Amino acid sequence: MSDANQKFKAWWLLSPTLLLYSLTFLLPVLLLVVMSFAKFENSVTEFGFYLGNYRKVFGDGITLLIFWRTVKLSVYITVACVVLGFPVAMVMRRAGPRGRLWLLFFIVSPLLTSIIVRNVAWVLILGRSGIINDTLREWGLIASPLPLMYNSFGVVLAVVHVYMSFMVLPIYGALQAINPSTEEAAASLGASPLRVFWFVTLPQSLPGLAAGCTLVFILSMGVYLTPVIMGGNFVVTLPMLITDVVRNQYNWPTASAMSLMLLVAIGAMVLVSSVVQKFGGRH
Amino acid sequence: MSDVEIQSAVKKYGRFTAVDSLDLTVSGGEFVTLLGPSGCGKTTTLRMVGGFVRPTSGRIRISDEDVTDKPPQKRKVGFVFQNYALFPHMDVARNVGFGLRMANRERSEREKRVAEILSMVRLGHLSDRMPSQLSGGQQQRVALARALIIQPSVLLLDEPFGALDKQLRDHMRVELRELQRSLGISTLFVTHDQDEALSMSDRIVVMSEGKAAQLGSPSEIYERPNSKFVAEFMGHSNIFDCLVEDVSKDGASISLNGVGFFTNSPSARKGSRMTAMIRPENIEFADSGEKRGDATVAATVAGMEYLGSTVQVTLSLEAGISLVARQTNTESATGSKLRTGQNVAVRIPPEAVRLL
Repeated sequence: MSDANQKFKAWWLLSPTLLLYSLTFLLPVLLLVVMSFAKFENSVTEFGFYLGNYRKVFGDGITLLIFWRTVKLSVYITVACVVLGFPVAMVMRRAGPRGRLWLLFFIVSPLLTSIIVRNVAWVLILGRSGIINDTLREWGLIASPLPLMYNSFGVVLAVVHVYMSFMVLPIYGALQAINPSTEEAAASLGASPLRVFWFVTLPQSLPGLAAGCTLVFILSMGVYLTPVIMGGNFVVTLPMLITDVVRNQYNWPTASAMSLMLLVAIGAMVLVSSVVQKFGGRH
Repeated sequence: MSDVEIQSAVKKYGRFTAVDSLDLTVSGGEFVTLLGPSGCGKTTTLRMVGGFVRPTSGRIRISDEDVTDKPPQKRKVGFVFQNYALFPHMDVARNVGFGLRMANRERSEREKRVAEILSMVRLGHLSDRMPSQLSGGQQQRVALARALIIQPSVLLLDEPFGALDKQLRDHMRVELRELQRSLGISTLFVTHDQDEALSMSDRIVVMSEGKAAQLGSPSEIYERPNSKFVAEFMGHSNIFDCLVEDVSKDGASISLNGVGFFTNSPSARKGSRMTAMIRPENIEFADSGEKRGDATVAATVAGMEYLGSTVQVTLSLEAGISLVARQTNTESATGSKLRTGQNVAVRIPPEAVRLL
């Protein structure tokens, strides 16, 4: 009885957070679901159980295309973050306290910069008459400017730059938790450095890797301003489409259906990641 | 033929010298212990043999082959770490079989040898458990099996009992020593626990500040420490500076702050200042009925400490000398019936006094 009482008391401590989350997250999501089944005709929204929005989202050919492009872009960003971020996390683990602090500062610094400033800086660097193209042209290495932005490359590069810390920090945390003796043990049992990494370091860092991938993927699926600036109108993502549908067509029901599509995709990613975190690394 | 040969190995970290010109040879299934306080360089020495630390100068040879420049994976050493360092993501069988897998042995051979070695350490029934599901003693055995399966030329043990409770530690001590003897594998063992070193070793190297302070059998180290440091580290309590007053063919008379003792220790030189060590268990209490020989000294009981099987008596002698005596706790022992503040006569036989 007293045990049950204890539990009840503990739950009470969550009530302010629960209230906040209900108001700011659960309620809006619920509204989104309701809205996605409403009918929008001649600028009038009519609530009910209408499947037209979903039929349109899945059938118009363009929404699904943009959705897959967004997924693909997010996968590119996530993979790039892993490839670039894992070595950084490894170096951070080996570095002394000073070196670690500097690396941390460099990795986190994009987050401390205004998103507009950061993207304008990228335009100055990657644009048609940006630093890179101008320099290369001056040296006579290229005749016409390289397409460094207004394409997926530019978007991926700029997004990776900001979200790198969300990959590096969880991986670093996981690496930090590894007992270095396990790696030494593997070496003394005949494993080359590459095999030590593959059989001992990597499997033990999987929880951090999964967490990093989840964070970066989720954030990438929802990124809006960077593709707008870096991609121009050439790289349209689902968040851009949703914004357009709401802002220019006032079509909340269709936008809601699209948003739920995004939400379900993210939910699936979280599910996969939690499975990996639970069973991953076990041989 | 030696299994391990450390030749004037030096390891410096900046201006700090962790290991200072150490020489040691282990061969023929010997059990050699590196004993010393923390920071004495014993673990660094072991890690140099394992290949995890590169010596600043000097050579390391394993099975008569110079391995100084070889990485750990090319040395064929069995290393057991302080915290076992089992792979937490692999079950017991995979942990133990790891070395064979790295040697690209066939699955059927691997399975057979894993089963063999697991039954040797009596863990055959736990082969599919994860390390986190094992007790400390079981993890210890897995670590040992994992190191032994590659048939190393030498077994290196870094404080392997540190994480176990006392009873299990004593048990594992015996078990490890039996296994080591039956396999006849040369072993280098690191510990800071003198009891562990004394009970297990064929030879002990007592290390201090990166150097070998003394090398010898357990009884040599314990009974004939060659320095004040070794004596103190081996747990001896009565260590004094003394003056050798006279030397005869039977022994020497020495003076501690004016109190005279007689010793048969052979190393005495007349007129020199030396360190004297008096073994607590050799101090006798003279009964009042007994005739008082010239070897008795008057003392006051300053404190009694009950230790179960023994009683430790702190005695206060004239000239401010404090002496610890240890008596077996039996019905007949005089020492166990003393009271604090009581005046007693103690006899210190010549063989109890050793000059260092």
